Amino acid sequence: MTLRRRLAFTLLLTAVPLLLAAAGARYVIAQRYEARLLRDLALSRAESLGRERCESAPEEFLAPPPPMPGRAGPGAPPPARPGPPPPRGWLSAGVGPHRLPARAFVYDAAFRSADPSAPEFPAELRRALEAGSEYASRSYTTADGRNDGLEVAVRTGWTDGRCSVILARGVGATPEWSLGLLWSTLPLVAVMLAAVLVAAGPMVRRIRALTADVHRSADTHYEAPVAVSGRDEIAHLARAFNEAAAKVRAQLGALDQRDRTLRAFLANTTHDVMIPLTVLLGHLSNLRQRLGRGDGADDAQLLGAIQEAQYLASLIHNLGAAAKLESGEPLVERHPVELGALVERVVERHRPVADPAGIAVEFGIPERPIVVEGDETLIEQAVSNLVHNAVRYNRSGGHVAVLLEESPAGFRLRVMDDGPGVPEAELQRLVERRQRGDEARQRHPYGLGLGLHIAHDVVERHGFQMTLGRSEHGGLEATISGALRTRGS
Amino acid sequence: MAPRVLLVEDDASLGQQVVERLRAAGFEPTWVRDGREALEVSPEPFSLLVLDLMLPGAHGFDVLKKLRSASDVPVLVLSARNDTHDKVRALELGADDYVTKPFWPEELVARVLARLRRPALQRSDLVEAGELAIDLHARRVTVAGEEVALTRVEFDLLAALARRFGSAVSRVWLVEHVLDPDREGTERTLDVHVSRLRKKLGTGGRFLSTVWGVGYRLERPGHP
Repeated sequence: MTLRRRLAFTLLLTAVPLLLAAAGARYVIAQRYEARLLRDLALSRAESLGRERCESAPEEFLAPPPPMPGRAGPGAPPPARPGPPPPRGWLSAGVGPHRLPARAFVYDAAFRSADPSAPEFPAELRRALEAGSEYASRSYTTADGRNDGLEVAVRTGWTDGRCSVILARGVGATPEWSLGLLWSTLPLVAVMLAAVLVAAGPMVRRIRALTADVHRSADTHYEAPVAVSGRDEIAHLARAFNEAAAKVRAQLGALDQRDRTLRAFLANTTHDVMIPLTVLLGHLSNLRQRLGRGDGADDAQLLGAIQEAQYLASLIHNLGAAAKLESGEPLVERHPVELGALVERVVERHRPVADPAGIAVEFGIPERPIVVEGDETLIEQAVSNLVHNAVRYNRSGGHVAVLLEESPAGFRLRVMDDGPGVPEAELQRLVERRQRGDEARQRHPYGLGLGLHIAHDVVERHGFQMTLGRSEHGGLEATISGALRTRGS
Repeated sequence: MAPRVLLVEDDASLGQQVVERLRAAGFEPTWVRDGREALEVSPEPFSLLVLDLMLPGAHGFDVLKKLRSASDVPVLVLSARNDTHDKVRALELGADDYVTKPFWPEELVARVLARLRRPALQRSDLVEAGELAIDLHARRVTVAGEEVALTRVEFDLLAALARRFGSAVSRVWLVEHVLDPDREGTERTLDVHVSRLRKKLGTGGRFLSTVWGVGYRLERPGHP
């Protein structure tokens, strides 16, 4: 249903019952007024004629006036009518809506009448008078069958004798007359209806314009705002839409950004993984060729293949860690992490590659467990990266040691090697400057690319500290330190 | 008798490799490829269980739960995903250790050995390595049955290493806990004590190794 139709329907739905109720009320009030008028007329007439006249000839009392000249025709004999005798009792019925003559009869205190033409006193009115009312009235059906007769019973004040009570009959208000009001107000209702429909016009037009604006905005991914005019509810709606559109835009932007990051990450990952995989394939192919020529396997080449596979595994783990870290979300996983067991695991992971390369990897952990709080996978990856660098850029006969110790502030974890180390300038650059992710992705000549970047990130995210420096044994020494897990946390 | 190891792994190639490696390392492996089947196997005859988490039939966590309701056998979990949540959950459910894929076969065997070695780590007053015997309670050291006279610091040093037999103990810890705090205790002093101790132990001195970058370790060479 459109707005206009709804308005018209609502207006009619309220106006019609209201008018019907008004007509009903008008009928009741008119009836009451007629009754009072009839009572006052009867009483004043009886008063002016006097009691004696009534007592002497009750049937003559309140007699009708002589025929009005011109009413039934001058000198014309009273028309002979069948049925009840013609009205005798008289009351001037010059008031009320119908201006019809009224009739009246007198009764004694026991509600009996000396007038043979008087009707039997209505029981309903008698009960009301006996109950103490000064007067009572009711509707009754007139002789011609119209249901608009009005009977009023009133005490004269002459308590004994034949004239205690007057019963006056007149004509009351009719429902048709009352409904006349309804017909007379119809034009008014029509005018109101028209006014409402006209008034709704601009509103409807503005809402239509707003709807078109919203469609347009949606088509432009909510970039175009809808027009806001005025200060009414429609303007509020337009403003609310613009606010909602801004939120939608922000969310779309965030999703778009995530999507772009994910695509970039996938592209970079594929690139990063393909290089060592290609090198690995090359090693395997060369080995196969050598075996085919009967040259036997080349241990160096085999070792190269093993190292490349190790690098690949470490790279994939690092890319997983990078995805977790680069999302920028706070670390969700926080659990007690026993660093001793972690160090042991990391060293055992690197030994299968270090041993055949002639590099000894050792570790020392305290007897008492050292427990910190954090993401075990990330911390393990950070330590693994440091060990991986130390092994990968060492030479046969070299050493790598991971030493975990308690310190006054908590723990200290050192990864040392006696490899060629990193030139002073390069080390300075690594220590001082946070590497950008893109730069760190490159295979660094010193192997301190993505792995170190991630180790640094992990340490920072856990509130630990990491320093890089020259080892007393000539190579590189990386130290991670931090606080222990507090009890109960 | 070779310790029996139950391997629950659905991948044929990986399972075959692990079985071969475990056998080569002196274990008697039993291989189960399905989660439902793993739920049925009684852990009773096994010294250790190697459990993959992603299994057909039933998840590794369910196998772990069922197992832990009846048995204390050590469990080593193979974690496919580098996912902290999985590891933490496995440890909460009673796993003893985990290895993240990809892993070197040597790495897995080392973890299994470490897990089986651990209960034997219980303190015993007598530590032996070849001809070297250290009685921690009586503070007596013999090499091939001959008692060796040691100073208090020398014995304390040897005892500290013997208590953590097979593990490297850091020089800093030894300086702080073994050397006399009243005298000047430095790492150089420690090294002097160690070299004297080695000399006194004679052939038994070969069990006392220097660990590069860490400190010292008492061990049987070739049997880490």
